[in-house]
Amino acid sequence: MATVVFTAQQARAGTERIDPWVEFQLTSYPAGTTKVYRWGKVDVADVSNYGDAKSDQIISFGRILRTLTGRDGQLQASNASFSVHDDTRKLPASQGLSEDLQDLNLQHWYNRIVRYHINGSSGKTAGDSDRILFRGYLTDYGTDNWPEFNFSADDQLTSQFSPFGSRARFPWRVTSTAQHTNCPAENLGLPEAWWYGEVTDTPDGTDKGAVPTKYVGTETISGDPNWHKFEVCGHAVKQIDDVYAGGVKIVGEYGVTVLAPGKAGWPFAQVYRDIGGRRYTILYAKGPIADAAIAGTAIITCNGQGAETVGDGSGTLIDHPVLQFRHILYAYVINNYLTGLWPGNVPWSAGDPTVNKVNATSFDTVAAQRPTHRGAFLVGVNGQLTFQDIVRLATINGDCQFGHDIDSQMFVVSDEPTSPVADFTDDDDVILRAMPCKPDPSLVFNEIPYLWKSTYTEYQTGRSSGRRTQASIDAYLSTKTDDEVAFEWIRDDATALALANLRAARHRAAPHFTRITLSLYALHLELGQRIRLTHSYFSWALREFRIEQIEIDLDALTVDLVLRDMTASAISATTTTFVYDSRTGSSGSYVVTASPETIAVTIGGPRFAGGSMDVGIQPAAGTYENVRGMIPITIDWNILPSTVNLHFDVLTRTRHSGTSVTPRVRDDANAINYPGTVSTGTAEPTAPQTITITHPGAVGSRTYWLQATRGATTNVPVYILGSARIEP
Amino acid sequence: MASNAVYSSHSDHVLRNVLATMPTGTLLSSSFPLSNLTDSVPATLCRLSSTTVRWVWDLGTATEIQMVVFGQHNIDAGHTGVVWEQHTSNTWTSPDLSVPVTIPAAERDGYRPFPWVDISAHAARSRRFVSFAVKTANSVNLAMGEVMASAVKRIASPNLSWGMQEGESVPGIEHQTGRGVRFAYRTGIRVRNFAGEVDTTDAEATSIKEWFRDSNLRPFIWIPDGSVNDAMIVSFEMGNELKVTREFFNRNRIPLAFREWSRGVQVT
Repeated sequence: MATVVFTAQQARAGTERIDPWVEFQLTSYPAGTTKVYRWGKVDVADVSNYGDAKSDQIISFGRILRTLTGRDGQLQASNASFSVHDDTRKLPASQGLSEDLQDLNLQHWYNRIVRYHINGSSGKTAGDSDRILFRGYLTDYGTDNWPEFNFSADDQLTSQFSPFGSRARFPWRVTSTAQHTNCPAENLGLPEAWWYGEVTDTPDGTDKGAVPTKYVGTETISGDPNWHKFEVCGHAVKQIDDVYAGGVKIVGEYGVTVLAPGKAGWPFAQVYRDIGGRRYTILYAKGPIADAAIAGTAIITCNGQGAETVGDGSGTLIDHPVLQFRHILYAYVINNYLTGLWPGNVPWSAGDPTVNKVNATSFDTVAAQRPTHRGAFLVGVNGQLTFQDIVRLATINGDCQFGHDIDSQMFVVSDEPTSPVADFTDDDDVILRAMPCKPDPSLVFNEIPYLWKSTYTEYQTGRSSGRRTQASIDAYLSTKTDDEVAFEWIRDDATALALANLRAARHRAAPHFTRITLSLYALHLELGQRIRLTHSYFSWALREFRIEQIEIDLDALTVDLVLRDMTASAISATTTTFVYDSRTGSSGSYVVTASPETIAVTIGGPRFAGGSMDVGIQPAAGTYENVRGMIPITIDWNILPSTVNLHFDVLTRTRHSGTSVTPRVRDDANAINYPGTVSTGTAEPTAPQTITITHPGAVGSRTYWLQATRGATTNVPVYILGSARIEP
Repeated sequence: MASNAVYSSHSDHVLRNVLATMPTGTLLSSSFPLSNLTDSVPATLCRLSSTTVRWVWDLGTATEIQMVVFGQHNIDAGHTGVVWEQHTSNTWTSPDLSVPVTIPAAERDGYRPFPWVDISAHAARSRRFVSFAVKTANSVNLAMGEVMASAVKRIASPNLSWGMQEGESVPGIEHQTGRGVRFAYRTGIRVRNFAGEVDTTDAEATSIKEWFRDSNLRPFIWIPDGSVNDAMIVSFEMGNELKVTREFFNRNRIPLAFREWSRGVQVT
C-alpha cells in the first residue's frame, strides 16, 4: 500500500480535504490495556485502516520540527507539541470508553507514544496509507489555561537520554562484584569499555600496546587459582594481535604466565568470556607480570581489532566510523547489550512493526560514499560519555549529519552532492511570507587544525596537524582558523587528512541560509536532500540548496524548510583590488569587513606624512584619467538582492586654484560612466562626495575604474583619493 | 407551501443517552458504538459492517414521541424499507406504528440532509418500545450519527420574520505565493446557520425564554420549514444571551440565531 502523497496540483486546485490527527497511546501502568486517543480538528468517522474515529478536540497541532546536527555535531531534538480542548473533562478513547482526565495518575502519561498522522480525501479514496509525520514519546503535559491541555513529545532519543536518565552515560555497563567477586574496590564502578576498529601502535613504531586493560580480580583456571583477570572490553573482539607488559611485547609467555585469546595456551573454547551474564574480552596473567600490572608499575596492554559483526569473534571487523556508530546504536541505544551475539535493529514500537528505530540503509549509503575511511577507538577507558558526546564524535569522525528521518528513524546523511529531488519557484510554490536570507561569515574557515590518534595509554602522544584552503585564504585575504577538531575515532593518517580536507572544503566560503514556506506537497522531502529554487527577487535560477531543517505546521498546513545554499558564497572576490601608492610604492589595502556583503576598498593609498592628500594625476583637460597606479576594482558577483549599491567615497582637490577636478567611476566594459561633482578647492575637503552605483546584482562580473579630469585653465595636477563600499 | 419552523427543546429528547439494542446488524468496531446514536453529537457515528439494521430502544414505560430526526447517515437517497416504528413490546412483525422515513438526495458536497418524521398526529405515538430499521440492503455499510426523538413537536409561532438570514460556512486553509498563485485545502466540513427575528406577544416571549433556558449550549432540533424533509440539529448562537426588546404593548422583538451542532465530515 502506497503512502499518501500530496501534490501541488491538489493544493492549487483546492480539491483536497486534509485530515491530520494526533494519536496518543496510553497504556495502563504498570501493564495493561492500551487506549488509543485520536484527536483532530474536525470529527472524522474513519474506518479502522485510517485510524477509526477522531474527535474534534485539537486546538492547535503545533509544529513538528526535525533538524540535522550542526558542524559541531550538536544533537538536535526532533519534537512536536499540541494542545487539546477538554471542555467536557472527558478524553474519549477509541474503545468508546471515557475517562476523566482528572482521575488519571498523570505520571503514567509520560513516555507514552505520540504519533502525528495525515491523510487526505484522495489518498483515502485511492487506498493510500497515512503518512506518519512524527513518532515520539510524551515528555511533558499539563494545563495553564484549563480546559486547554498542552502536550509535548520528543523523539526517541531526547526522551530516553536526558542527562539525568539512568542510561545517561556510555558505556553504561560498569564493573561490578556480580561478575568479578574479588575485583579491587578502586576498579569497581569503572565503565566496561567498547573497542571498535584496529587499535594498534605497531605501525607508527611505538609498539607498546595502544589498548589498556583493567584489573578485575582473580579466576581459577584449570584448578590454578593464581590467574589474574585483565579486562580489555565488555564484548568479544575480532582479534588480539599482541600483548604487552610494561610496554614490552609478550613473546614466549603465552600459555605459561599470560593467556590471551587466539594465542598459544588459551584454555577456553571461545575467544570471549561470559561471566555473570556479561560478555568480555579478558587477558589473564600470573606471576611477576601480573604483580607488576596490579601494582601499576608495568601495565598490561594490547593491540588488535575490536568489535566484529557477529558478537563471538567470528564476524567481520566493523571498521568504518559510520558503521561503528550504527553498531553503537544497535547494541547500546535501542538494545541493552550484555551478552550473546550482537542485537540488531528493532521496530519502533509493537504497534508499528514495519518501521525500525534506525534507518540502517542510510548508514550504508554514507559509508559507501567514504569507502576508505577507517575508525578505530575505545570508549570508556578515559571515562564515560553522554549520548550527545557519542553523536558529536560519530558525526565529526564519520563526516556526516545525524537526525531523525521522515519516518522518525535515526539516520545519517552526508553532504556529498546528490541529484536535486524537486524544483520550486517563487511564482508557483513558495508561500508569501517573511523569508530571511543571508550568508553566515562566521562559518568561513580556511585553516583547519586537527588532532587524531587518541591516546589510551601512557606510551603514545597525540599528533596534530592542519589543513589550509589556499583559495579561500586568497579570496578573503586572511587566514580564518577553525577551532581545533579532534578526530578521536581516527587512527590512520589518510582518514584524518581526508576528514580535514572535507571540512576545509565545506567551510571555505560563507554559506547562505534561507527559509522558505511551502505547501503540503513538501511533506515528502527529507533532511539532507537537495532542491532547486528559482526566485525572481533574489535572481536565482534553479539555484541548489540543501535541506537542513524541516518544520511542519499542521494548523496552517505548511512546510518550512531551512536551506543551505550549495552555491559558492554570496560574493566571490576572486580578483584582489588594490591601489598603487605613487610615492611609497606600497600597495593599498583590501579589507573584507564583517560580512562578505560589505567590502571596503581603499583607493589611493595612505596620505602622506603631512596629512595632505597628494596622489596626483594630470589628465588633459576634459579627459578622464585613471587614478594613478590604480588596478580596477573587479568583483565577481553572486549577490542575493537583485540590486546592490556600490558607493565610492571620493576626496578631490586641486593643486592650484583656477582649475577644477571632476571624479567619476567608469565601467569600461559596458561604457557606462557614473559622474561625480566638480570641485575647485585646493584644500582637502572635510567630507567626501559619494558616487553611488546601483549595481544590477545577479551573477556576473563588473570592473570599475575611479577616474578624474580637470578643468581647462591650468595645466596642474589634481588629487583624488577614495574608498569603495558595497552595501546591499 | 412553506410552513412554520419546527423545533424541539433540549429536555424534549426522550432517547438521550438511552442505549439501543441491535437485533439486526453488526457493529464495525468498538470505535463506533451504539451509544453514539443517542449521545446528542451527530459527528460521533455508529458504524456497521452490515447494510441492514434494526435498532430498538426500550423506554421503560410508554412515552410520547411526536417527531424523530435521523442525523448524519449514509443511507441511499430514496431507499425503501427505512422505517420508524413503535410498539408495546419488542416484536416488530406488526408494530402499532410504522412510518416510512424518506431519505433525501445528497447535496453537492456529499452531505445528506437529515430526514425527519412527524408522528404527532399518530394514535400510537406513545409506546414503550421504539425502533429504527433499514430492512432492505443499503448500497454501503450503514452509519448514523444521531437518532433524536422529541416528545413535543414545537411549531414556531409566530414564525421567523421576513429577512431571516441563512448561511453556510465551509472552513478551509488558504495561502498564496508572491505572484498570487493560490493554494487551498478543505477541512471537509460545512456548517449551516440561521439568524432572524420573531415578533412575539408576551406569552410567546416567555415561551422562547423557557426554550433558551433549557437549550442554550445544548443541541436541539431545528427544522426551518416544517414542510421540507431537511432537519438540523443545532444550538443557539447568540453569544449565550437572549435579548428581548419590548417594542410595544404586548409586542416583543427577539433576535434568534442557530448554528449546526457538530456533524463532522461527510459520511461515506
